[in-house]
This record gives sequence, structure tokens and C-alpha cells, in this order.
Amino acid sequence: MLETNVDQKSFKFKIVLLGEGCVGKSSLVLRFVENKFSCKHLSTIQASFQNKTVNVEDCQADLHIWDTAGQEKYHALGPIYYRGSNGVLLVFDITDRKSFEKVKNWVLEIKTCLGNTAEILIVGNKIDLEEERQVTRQDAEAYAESEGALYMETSAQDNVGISDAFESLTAKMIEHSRTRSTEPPSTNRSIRLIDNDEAERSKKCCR
Amino acid sequence: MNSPGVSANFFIPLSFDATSLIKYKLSDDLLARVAASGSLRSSSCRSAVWRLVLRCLPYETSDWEISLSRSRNLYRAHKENHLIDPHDTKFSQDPEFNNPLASIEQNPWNTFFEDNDLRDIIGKDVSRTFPEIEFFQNTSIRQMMSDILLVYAKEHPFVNYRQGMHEILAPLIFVIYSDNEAFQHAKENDELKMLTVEEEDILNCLFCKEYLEQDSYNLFCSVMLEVSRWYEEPTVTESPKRPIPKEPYMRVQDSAPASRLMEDLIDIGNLLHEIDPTLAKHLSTLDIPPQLYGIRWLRLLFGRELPLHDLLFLWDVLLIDRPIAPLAKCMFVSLLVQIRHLLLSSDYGGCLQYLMRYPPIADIDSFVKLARHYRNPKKNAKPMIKSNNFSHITVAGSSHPNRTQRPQRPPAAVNSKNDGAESPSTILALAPVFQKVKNTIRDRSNTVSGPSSPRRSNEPLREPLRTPQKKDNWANEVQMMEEQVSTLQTRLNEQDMMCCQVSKALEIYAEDVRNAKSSELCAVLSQNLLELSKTLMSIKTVPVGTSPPKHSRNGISDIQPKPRDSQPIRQHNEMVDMATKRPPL
Repeated sequence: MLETNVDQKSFKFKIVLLGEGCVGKSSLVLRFVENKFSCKHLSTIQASFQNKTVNVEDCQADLHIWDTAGQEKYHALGPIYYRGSNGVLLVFDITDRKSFEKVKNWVLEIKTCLGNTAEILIVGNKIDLEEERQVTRQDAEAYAESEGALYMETSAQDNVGISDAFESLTAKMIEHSRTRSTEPPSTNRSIRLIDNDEAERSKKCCR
Repeated sequence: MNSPGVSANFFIPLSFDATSLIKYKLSDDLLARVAASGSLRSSSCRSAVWRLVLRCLPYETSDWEISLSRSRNLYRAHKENHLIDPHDTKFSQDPEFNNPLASIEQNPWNTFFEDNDLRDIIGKDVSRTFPEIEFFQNTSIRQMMSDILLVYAKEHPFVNYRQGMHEILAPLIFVIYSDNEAFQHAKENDELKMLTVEEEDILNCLFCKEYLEQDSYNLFCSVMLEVSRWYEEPTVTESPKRPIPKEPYMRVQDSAPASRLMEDLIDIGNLLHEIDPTLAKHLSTLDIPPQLYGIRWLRLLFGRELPLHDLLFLWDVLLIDRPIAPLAKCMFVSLLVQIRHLLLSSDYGGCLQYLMRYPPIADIDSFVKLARHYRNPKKNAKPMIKSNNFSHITVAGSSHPNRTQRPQRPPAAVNSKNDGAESPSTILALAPVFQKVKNTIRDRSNTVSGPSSPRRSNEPLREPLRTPQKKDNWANEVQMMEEQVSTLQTRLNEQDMMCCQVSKALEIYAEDVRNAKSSELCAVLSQNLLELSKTLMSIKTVPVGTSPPKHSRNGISDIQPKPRDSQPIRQHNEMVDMATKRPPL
């Protein structure tokens, strides 16, 4: 699927959104894909899927976006969706400290399971609620930098920074796929023989 | 109390309301036939039927009062037990043990804080339940849902609360509430005159508004007995910590099933392979196993795949066929088979869009028949299904992401007929109706601006980009109307079917009268005939003007709080009224 070719102009990427419940993951996607906002929408159960094509500089990228359920109990399902991702969007709510701590867990998990095959973008959402802010921009930026991730702030309600966020991530993914020849795991269709021992261990890592 | 004359095997009551609960000899068999016939769609005792088939209520009506008071008291006790108020005098009020900071085991505040976290999680979901239905915006209903879910979680620690349960509970509360209201309404209108005082007391006790919360909890627990298998935590069979392998990552469908949910999804994959190998192969080539999208389908019992009024009908059929898992699996596969032409012609992204936003079903009745056919092919004939889904819209009524820019005509579903009950003359009769509806819309589009079709969610507050697309929106509007007309057509089909049943029942009674020897039996039979004719006169339909647009849940909020009226069916061309009675476009 991906070739390490500097002249390549069209790309296909898989992006997954992860984060605590109610931080606005679905709203980000809704705003990005359909340019809509709704304050009354349903909880995401399991996951949801969208695709959108974006143009970054002179390249075109077809994005497959997986939006996941945020509730703790669904955490175990994470791997189904981030497997083979080229980009991970970790979303937290700037008015909720707990959701930021949750991002840190996700970073650990993603790094363990995907290694450096995926670009990470941390997003602080709901900046329209500036007066209730609990996580400062400096804190979040410093943390992101220490993890080698991007950091951006958005408001799905006021449409601030959303397309920037997705485009920056896309640019990173393009750069990534050009510079590294590692093939993402999802494209690996060959049959692997996994002995039980190993199978058990790979289940383990999803927790 | 139950009249013995009306228990014949072939008998399906034409309408089933509160008094039917008393009149008929209730049994699983009768209720299964009632449910499958669709009679409950317009009935005001659906909640009672659900409670009966799920064994929340015994079949013997005389036992109801005791059984109800027992279950209601039980809930009250659970609630007192689990919803902790540290200021309650049942706890020691000694500040040494009872204060928010005391780190002592018996401190009631510990539980209080723990529960608060859970309450918080539940609250996030409850406040996002059916956002477009007025009923669920009510604070007391929300509070009630939160309490029920919290008590359930505490009473069932192994299941606990998990996202999705709120959407199992919501329709249950809604149905019980509506039935209670309808009963009050019937009482006020003196519709219960044929009942004795004792019989009315029993129903009074059953449809008692004050116990909405208790009764909902009770029904919810029974439904969860069936559904909780899909909410269980995966069984953890791991050995002590070992290094985690970075790669390769196993595909979800390759891993050993860790829960009954995953087992069932694997079963579903196999069943699909048996029923439709081509489709199964297509999806597996694209790497789209049921596990990828199907958890939500099962956990919500298809709650997001169907508009609420069709969903309730689906549950009618599902809840009586217990354990429900086998039929649910068949329904799952039917949902896939129904849209096979869409799936087979789509790529990875397209397929996922269809599976994540399931295209609304045009005729739910033939869908249910298909599912029942897969469940028991020998007993249930396979319905003729051509295309039965509207691929251009979502259940919410907004346009489907897979739809191309150019407005498409809805698939032939509107004109093609799916089950045998339909006569060609109905189709012919409908052709001018479509034209009229279209014309109405077109006329209006010249004078009025800014269409607003009912949408389920995603209603944009700010939508700077939408104005230039006015023309396209009108096309959407027309499509929406066409689809609503088809809803009404489906409803007409149901009426047709009822008429067929009535005529069959009449024939049978006629035969019985001819063979009757005693005058006593004659009296019973003539009583039956009279009832039959009364039902025939008052075949219940939701008044056309207020009927919810089939594929939008918004309409529900218009009709829900009031009891369903009975209105005699009128002429076909009344459907045109729908266009004129709709809210200003």
C-alpha cells in the first residue's frame, strides 16, 4: 500500500481517535468531515468510521478515520481499531484534568503496541470553555514534546483548529511514510504462524 | 375470568389492548402470534406483553397484584440499600467514623464517593440518550434512568454498568410510560366499561404511573438476563507478566474468542458464510469481520440500525423467542443479506459506511420474516425481498455518506413489493400520490426557503457551508417524502393483512356456527363475532397527520406523550395530507 517514494502524491492513511468519554472525539470528526456541530448527539458505542480525502501541499491523502468509544470499559477494544494505524489522535478535554491523565496511558499503550509506526497527535479540545480550563497549554505542549508527539488545541463547537489538526497529522504521516520504509502491520497479509504462547502474549498487550 | 371460547390455535386478535389482557387466555403461543402479526405496533399494552413473555408477570391475571407489589418493594429495598446517603440515620453519625475524610472501612462516604464516579459515567450516557426525543430530555426521567442503571450495576457487580445499557433501558421506560398514559386515557374516556370492578383494579395496578421507575427496573433486569451475555468482560486468561510483543498484531478475527460476545460474532460470521457465501467472502476479503462493527448491533439490540417505532416491533418478535441470541444472530445476518447488493458493490470504506450507518429498512415486516426464515427455514417461508433499504439516507434521515453528489433515486423499494400481502393495485393507486407529493414540494420550493428535514442528530447549529446547496436539499426533501409515502404504504399493507386475517377468522366462525349444536355455544360464538366486527371497525392506526416520518426519530416526540388514538382508516389519498400537514418547510 505504501511505498517509500518521494515522488508519491497520493496516500491512504488510517487514523484512530482515542481518549476518555465525552471529550469530543465524535464532534471533532463530525466537524472535520461534515463541518457540522451538534451539542446533542449519541454516545459512540464500539466505534464509528468516516473517510475523507484531504490535500496537503501537493499531495492527496485518503483518510480512513476510526472514532472509538471512550468509556473505560471499551478500552480492551482499542487494539482492534488502532492496529495498523498510521496516525493516532489522542483527545482530551482541557476542562477535565482526568481526561488528560488518560491520554498519558494511551501514549504508553500506543508506543508499546505500534512502536514508532504511527504518528501521534495530542489534541486539547473544548477551548471555547477557556474559563473552565484545568490543563494549561504549556503543560500539554511540554508533555507532547517529551513524547515526540504533536500538540494542538481545538474547539469543535467554534470550529477552531480542526482542519489544521488533521492536516498537520496528515503532513506528518506523509513525511513518515516517505522517510521510513517500515510497512505498517495492517498491510501485511501474509500468513503468520503464531504459537499459543505468543498468542497469549499478544492478547495481553491489549489491556 | 378468561373466556374459554377464544383460545383456538389459529386465532390472532386483531387489536390487542388493555382489556385483551383480561379477555383472552394468555399464553406464550398467543402472544408470539400477536407479536409476529404486528398487532402490538398500535397496541397500548406492549409493555405488559413484554413483561408477560419475559416472566416479570405471571400469566394468571389474578396473581398480578401480588407479583407487582413484590417486585416493586424489592426495587425500593435495593434502592435504599445501594443509593447511600451518609447523613442517613442508619449510619453512625459519629464524626470519627462518618466523615468524608475518615479512612475507616465502615465509613459510608467511601461508598458514596465510589458511587459518584459510577453515577458520573452513567450520567454522561443518560444525558446523551435519544437526544431528539423530548421525553428523554425530562430531568425526572433522566434521574430515573440514572438510578435504575446505578441500582442495576450495584445489584449485578459482575456485569456492572457498561455503555449501551442506557439505550436498552430507554425504550423500556418509554413503552411503559406510554402504556400507562394510554390506560389513563382509556379510563377517562370510559373505554373500560366491559370490565368488572376487580378486573379494572388489576389493570389499575398494572398500569400505575407511580411505579414507572420500579416497573422499568424490573423489566430492564429481565431484558438484561438475555442481553448481559454481550456486556460481559472478556475472560482474562493471562499468565503473569511477560514482555509484550511489538509485532505482529493479530487480527481480531484470528484471536481466540475471549467472551460470549466474540463467540457469537464468530458464529454470525459462520452463519453468514452458510447463507450467503459470496457476501461472506467479499467482506472477509476486505478484512471486515462482524467483530469490527457488530458489537454495537448486538449490545443495543439493533437500536441504532432502526428507527424507534420499527425497533419496538423488532423487540416484540425478539423478546418472545427466548433465549434471544439465536434469533438475534439471524437478524444480524438478515441485516447484512438485505444490503448485499450495496455491500458487494462497495470498497472497504463504502462497506464500513453502510455497516456503521445502516441504510434504513423500507419494510420492516418482510425483514422480520427473513430473519424468522433463517431462524427456522422449515417453519417460516422465505419472503420475496428485492431491495428493501434506502441507501441514500441514514436512519437519522440525513443523507448517507456513501451517496454520490448527484441525487439518486431511492432504490426500487418504494415501488417493488416485498411480501405477498401486497396487491398490484395498491402500487398503481400510489403512483399518482407520489406525483402529488413531489408536486407539492416543488410548488413550495418556489415560495418558501430553507428546508429543514427532520434529522436525528448532527443537527448543525452553525452551518456556514450549507446555504449554497439549496437545490440539492430540495432533492433530499423529495426523497424524504417518497420514503415517507412508502412508510404509509407499508402501513396500508399491514391493514390489508389484517383484513385478510379478519376474513379468515370470519370464515372459521361461520363454520363453527354452522356446526354448533347447543345454544350456549352459539351465544359464545356470536359474542366473538360481535367483538370481531368491533375490532374491524376500530382498526387502530396512528393518525396520519401525526405519523412519525419512518426514518427519522424526530417524529416520535410529537406523538409520544399522548395515548394513541384509534381512528378508522380512511382513503388512500389521505396520504397527500401528510405533505400539507408537515411542519412548515
